Amino acid sequence: MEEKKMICIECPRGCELTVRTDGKSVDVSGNFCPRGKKYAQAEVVCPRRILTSTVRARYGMIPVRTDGEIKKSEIFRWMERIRAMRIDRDVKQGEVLLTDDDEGIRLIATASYRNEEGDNAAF
Amino acid sequence: MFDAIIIGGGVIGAMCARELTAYRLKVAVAEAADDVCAGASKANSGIVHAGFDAPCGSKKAKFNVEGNRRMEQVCKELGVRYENNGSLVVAHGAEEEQKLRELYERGLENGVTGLQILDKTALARLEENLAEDVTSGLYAPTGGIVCPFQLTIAAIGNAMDNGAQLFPSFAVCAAKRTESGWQIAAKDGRVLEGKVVLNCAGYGSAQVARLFGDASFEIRARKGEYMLLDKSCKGFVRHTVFGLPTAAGKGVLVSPTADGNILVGPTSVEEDTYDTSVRREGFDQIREKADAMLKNIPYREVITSFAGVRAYSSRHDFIIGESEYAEGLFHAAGIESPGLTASPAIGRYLAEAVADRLHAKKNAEFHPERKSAEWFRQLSREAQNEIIRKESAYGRIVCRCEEVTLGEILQALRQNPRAHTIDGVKLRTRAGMGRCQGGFCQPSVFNLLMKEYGYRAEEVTKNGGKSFVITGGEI
Amino acid sequence: MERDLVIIGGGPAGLAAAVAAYDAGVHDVLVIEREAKPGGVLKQCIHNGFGLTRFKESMTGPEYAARFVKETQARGIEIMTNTFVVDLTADKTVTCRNESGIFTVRAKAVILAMGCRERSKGALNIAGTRPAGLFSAGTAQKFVNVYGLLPGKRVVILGSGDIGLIMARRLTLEGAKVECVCEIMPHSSGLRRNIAQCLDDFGIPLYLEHTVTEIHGKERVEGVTIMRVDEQKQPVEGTERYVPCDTVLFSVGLIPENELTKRAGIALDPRTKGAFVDGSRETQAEGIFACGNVLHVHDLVDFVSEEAEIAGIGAAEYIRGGQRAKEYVPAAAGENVTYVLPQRVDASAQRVQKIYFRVRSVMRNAVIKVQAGAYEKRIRKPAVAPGEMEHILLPAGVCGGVKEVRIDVLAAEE
Repeated sequence: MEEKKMICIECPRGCELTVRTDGKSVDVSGNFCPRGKKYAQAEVVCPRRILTSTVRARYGMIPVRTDGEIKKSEIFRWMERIRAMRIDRDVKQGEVLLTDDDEGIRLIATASYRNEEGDNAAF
Repeated sequence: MFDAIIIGGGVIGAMCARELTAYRLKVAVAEAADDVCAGASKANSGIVHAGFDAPCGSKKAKFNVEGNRRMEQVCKELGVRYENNGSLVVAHGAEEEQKLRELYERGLENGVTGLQILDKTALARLEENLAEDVTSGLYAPTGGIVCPFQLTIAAIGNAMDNGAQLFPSFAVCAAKRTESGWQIAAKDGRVLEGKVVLNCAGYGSAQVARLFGDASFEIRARKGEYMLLDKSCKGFVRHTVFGLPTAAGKGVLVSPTADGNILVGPTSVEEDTYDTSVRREGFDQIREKADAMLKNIPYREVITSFAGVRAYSSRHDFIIGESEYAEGLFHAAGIESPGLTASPAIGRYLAEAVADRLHAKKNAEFHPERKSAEWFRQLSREAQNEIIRKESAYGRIVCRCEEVTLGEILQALRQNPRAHTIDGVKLRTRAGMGRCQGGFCQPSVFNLLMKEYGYRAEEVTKNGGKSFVITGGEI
Repeated sequence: MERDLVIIGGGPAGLAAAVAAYDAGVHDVLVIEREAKPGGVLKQCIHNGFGLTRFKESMTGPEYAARFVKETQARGIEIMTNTFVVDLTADKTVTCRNESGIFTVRAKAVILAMGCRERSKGALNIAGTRPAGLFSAGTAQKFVNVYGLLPGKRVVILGSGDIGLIMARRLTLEGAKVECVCEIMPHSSGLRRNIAQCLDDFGIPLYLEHTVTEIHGKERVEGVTIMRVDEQKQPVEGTERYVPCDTVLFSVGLIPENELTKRAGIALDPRTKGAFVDGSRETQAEGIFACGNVLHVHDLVDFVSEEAEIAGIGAAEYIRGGQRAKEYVPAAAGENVTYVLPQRVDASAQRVQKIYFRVRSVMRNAVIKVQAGAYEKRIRKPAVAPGEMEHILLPAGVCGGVKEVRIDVLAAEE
């Protein structure tokens, strides 16, 4: 039996979870809601995260996020791909900028962007 | 070939340059740093001293009193903020009161006007936050405050407008005599030739003198640390309040600044090198001395702390005039306090000496006035609206805390001497000098520098050299 | 210019207040925003986690802001951007400056929603040099997320506020090495989840009871000295450690930006650093309301929106000349409570009143005790921390005739 403590990141409450595993079953305590249990179980098997970053466009940066959780171990691979992207057109909030072949997770713009210098003046 | 080369773009070099351009002379200013106002002129108290402190008969006394008399007019011409707020030296008990009387007598002999010794009741009418055990004070109505950066920058700018040439990043490393004067060389190989040279190199002035074969004096460093309080403390003191001077200088003062903050400091620390780092114990030393003069100083409102270096000479007086060892080299060295106050007088004195030597005539086209970055904010609302209608940039606030407009920043980027660093913009416009210390406006100023000069992001510096703002490149 | 309602600030507070006031029947609303686009600091907060409490979904800052911008657009509410308010008087005259000039707007009611600023490094009296490479966490955030520039490659972060934690992760994702986060207090001032997902996820150490005591480097930062502190927050001699770095981020607190409030002569609460307000978020100046981080620094934007709606409705009621509270009961911060907000509640309220508060120190198994005359309620909490805003609900009709409402946070008796 292995015991592990972790903070749930599902909401600002930040429950302190205790997770006991024996290889087969996962026992979670300390969670306020069912999401905590789900989080802890996933955390033991394969931790996943939403990734947020920015994509470079001609006149500024476009904020982006993944529309689902990606494997924590894949974060830096995703960052490489995001860093390689260049946008030179208008983008609408919610627009898909990239789709991951393996898991079908998509990178979406979280703000609209107009490809004009004047619209992106820094002050 | 220049008539006069000034080494040093601090307030002394600036005043010399301006006064020299009032004659028909070709003037150059060589500044070692990437921008003017980089040494003691950017980290000092900004006090226009009355002149009661300097020893009778000293150069300090003479130039202090004369500079004090000229300061208001100079500031008016250059559009620099100046206030004649008066100063107070406070004493605790009989022993200190005796010293206060000595100071009073010395002031009279130095030619300071209006001095008065006030009792506790009279003091309380001037300042309400004096410490309870203050018993008496010396009031000097001619004391004032000035913005030291504005003064330095405006004087150089005005000299440039009148034809002087500025050579920034020109660190003088050699000097040799020529047929008609001197040739000086910078580390990067550039050379300048002039009939005469003015040594206004601050901490570096002894080193500069040696390049010319004059090893007659040493310059030592005495650091002073300060704390600056937010503008919300305005009114906490109205006069510049000093303790009694000691051998190490005038000691800690508490004063409003010309820009509306409250300044507390400086300490006094002998240093072997030019070092502007602030010490942890410095804060306690400032507080101990300041608390002896005033009660309830709002230290919670500190917005920044910094240190400056006084470059004082081994002769313990200003060294002003032609070198005895190098003909055509004029010193203005060892200019510690009251150097800022004395600067207009030193500038005029040396300019007259140089003009005399070169038989120069007055420059009829000399224009003493300059529109500093201050001009816009001093206008009435109606007048500002007139300007905004013509130039909308004056309607855009970039620095929230000091309410600096885009128009003023563009002026600082384009007017002599042009700002090309974050701190350069700050010293000229006050953008980033307020309570958030550039937190909001630094990225905007950064962006404006890139646009104006075509810099890449990695090239923008805080204050020249390798002080790059961004060292991680593009993400 | 004359308007019914002027809202100063087009961030999350101002936008939510505008929408709520509009829906409460006041349609002549002007929102004044100093930046080029509305949304405030949310525009650069590209991380997710916003909206969980209010919308039950995890949004990024720009998405959260866009939702409110859309709501204002749907109602045709005017947002005047690139406009800076330079003065405010108690009689609700607002002086503005923008590219068309300097002008005044006379309002029937004003809502203050100017937000907050970061406490600067300058306020910390740190020894050492003043080189390039020192940034407030939010300034660094702007450089990275808006400009696409990485401030430096080796970073030390002082202060474990949420922006600092978020930036630790962001800089790491972009290839910088975050050496450590130093926190002078024995606990972090950030959310627990941010320590988990921003520091623990990337193996970034958090040194509690540690501070930066000296900055080294002449032109650009070259390193910092960090030291452990004692209970009086004084550095302990002998614990000096030199950490090489080229960048220092400061995440050492937020300060409500109340310069205009002060100019209008409105009294500020030294504990919240914002105005004293009643349940409707009306300040001590009649018809001037306040909400969001200008009133007190919130932990979550969700609560900013909620509070802004209270202020928006309050302002609308004021403009319409509706029924107003006549008697107030002071709300008091009791044991282990830093502040309560509002500072006074409506004595005769016929509705539930919500009181926000913050605790002074971390406590496990805490009991929140609410007392108003004969009314007393105890609520158990497994843990409370100063970084997280707490609240209680005060039922209708318990305040009549009582001297004060008091909140204490006590240790639970086992």
